[in-house]
Amino acid sequence: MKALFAEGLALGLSTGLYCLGACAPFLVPYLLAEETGWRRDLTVLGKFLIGRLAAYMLFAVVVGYLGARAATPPPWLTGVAFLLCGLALIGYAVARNAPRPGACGRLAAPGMPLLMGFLAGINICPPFTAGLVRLLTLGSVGRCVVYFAAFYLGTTVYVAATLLLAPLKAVPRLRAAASIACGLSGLWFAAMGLAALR
Amino acid sequence: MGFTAAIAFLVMKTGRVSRWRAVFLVVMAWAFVVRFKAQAVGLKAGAFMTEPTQEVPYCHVALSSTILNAAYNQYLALKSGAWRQWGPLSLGFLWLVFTLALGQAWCSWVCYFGGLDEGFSRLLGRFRLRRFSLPPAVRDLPAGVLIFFAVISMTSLTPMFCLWACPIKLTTSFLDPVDAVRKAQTVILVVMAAGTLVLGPLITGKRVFCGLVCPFGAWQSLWGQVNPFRVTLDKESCTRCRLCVWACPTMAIEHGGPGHPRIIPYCNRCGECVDVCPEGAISFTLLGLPSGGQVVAGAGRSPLAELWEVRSLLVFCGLVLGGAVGGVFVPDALRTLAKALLR
Repeated sequence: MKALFAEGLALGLSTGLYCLGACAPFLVPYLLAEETGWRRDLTVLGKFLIGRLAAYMLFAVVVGYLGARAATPPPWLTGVAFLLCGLALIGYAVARNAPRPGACGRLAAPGMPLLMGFLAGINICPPFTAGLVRLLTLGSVGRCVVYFAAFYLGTTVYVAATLLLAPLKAVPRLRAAASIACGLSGLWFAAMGLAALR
Repeated sequence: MGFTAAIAFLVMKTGRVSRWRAVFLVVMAWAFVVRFKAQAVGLKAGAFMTEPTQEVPYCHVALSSTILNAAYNQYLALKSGAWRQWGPLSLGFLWLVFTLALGQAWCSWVCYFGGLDEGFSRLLGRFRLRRFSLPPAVRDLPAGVLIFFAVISMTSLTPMFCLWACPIKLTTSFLDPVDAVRKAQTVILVVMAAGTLVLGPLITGKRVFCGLVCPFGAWQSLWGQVNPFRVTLDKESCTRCRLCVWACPTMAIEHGGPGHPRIIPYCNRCGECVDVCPEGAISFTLLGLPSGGQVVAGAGRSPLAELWEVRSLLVFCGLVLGGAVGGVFVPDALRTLAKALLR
């Protein structure tokens, strides 16, 4: 089990920069748009990481249980995840900037980072695919969970580095600008999602 | 050089800073278009770029939106000792010089792209919308554009703003629309160019690209604070007529509430509000310190004293640096035009 954990961790550490690339467009504008304060930043990041962990564990359990029958996740999954992520970010930007956000106001709720983390987690990126292929050979739910938990830990080192950007929020207008960037990011990912589903 | 000197003379003679600055900037912009269009057609026998990938062009707008990529590449170049890759470092040094000398005034005195929407924003004169304003939050759009494109460009290692959103490509070469993605990019280019460089400025009289899109404007409004030139409003003289709010071409004066108008950090020192204020309540200052009021041409001061005014210093810095940049392509553009006319 130790060797399996080490292998997952090594995969996460070696491919984590790519994971940061996948998560940064969601996470960075969102983190910068939120209120200042280290406690607040840690809470946002923590929720994002928990959401992401939930997605990883879901995959580990499903693949561990179904084995080769879950060899290829449905091709529409990434498209749907991108689209939902995009719509959530657009809604969040509206909630932060519109005088009367209507239903979008709910997207500025504390649970938003959790949802974002989960949606970011179910995006099938190349490092994730590499981990997934290895899962298929493990043959038990327990071993899959250990492997993916270690993989998750390895990649989290890079994702957590986004906290270093938090001091930038001291610039007064930057938070407003970051919430606008969330909207642009949302448009981008919604368009990518639609393109993937086409 | 003669043209730059003529502009300086006209500013000092008439006391109208922004009018003559605009002439200078518009001439620079169209000279840039002529020069680079001619080069694109001359070198490639066509107006399209067909390379499958696009490198970051040596353009200040592109470099600001790919600043993380540039920083990473320069880190690698320095580490490996590959001095041939250090080009962006020299650009960075030039940027530092310009920022120390002009700060945000770059956008109104030097940026040859800004001259495009500047020109269109003045074309309709009195027929444009007179009292156009947007919610203050919208003015943060360029900073949002900067954050989004800096992150997405870094994560994809591609100059995403140049590929997807920059209407300035209109001034050089287009991407060849060979596939669906390129076609989408071309449609966005046309929409952005028509909306932010031509129709928006024509209808609103504002520099729409500079005020609402340009990531370099946002970048410069952050770093430009190190430069001492400011536009300052004297609250005692201000009558709250709000002419400055309506006149500001980059929507950098807020007027919310019953108080005095407020000049926000996105101001790029164009001088339009200084020209338009009937009370002389707005002036160029150094770090906001009192400068002894606005100098009106022919108001009794000696020409020598007038030369040492903050306004004159800004005009001098703007025209010298703008002239230095324009000196690279304006003479070429004139030669190209002359050849085309004589052919």
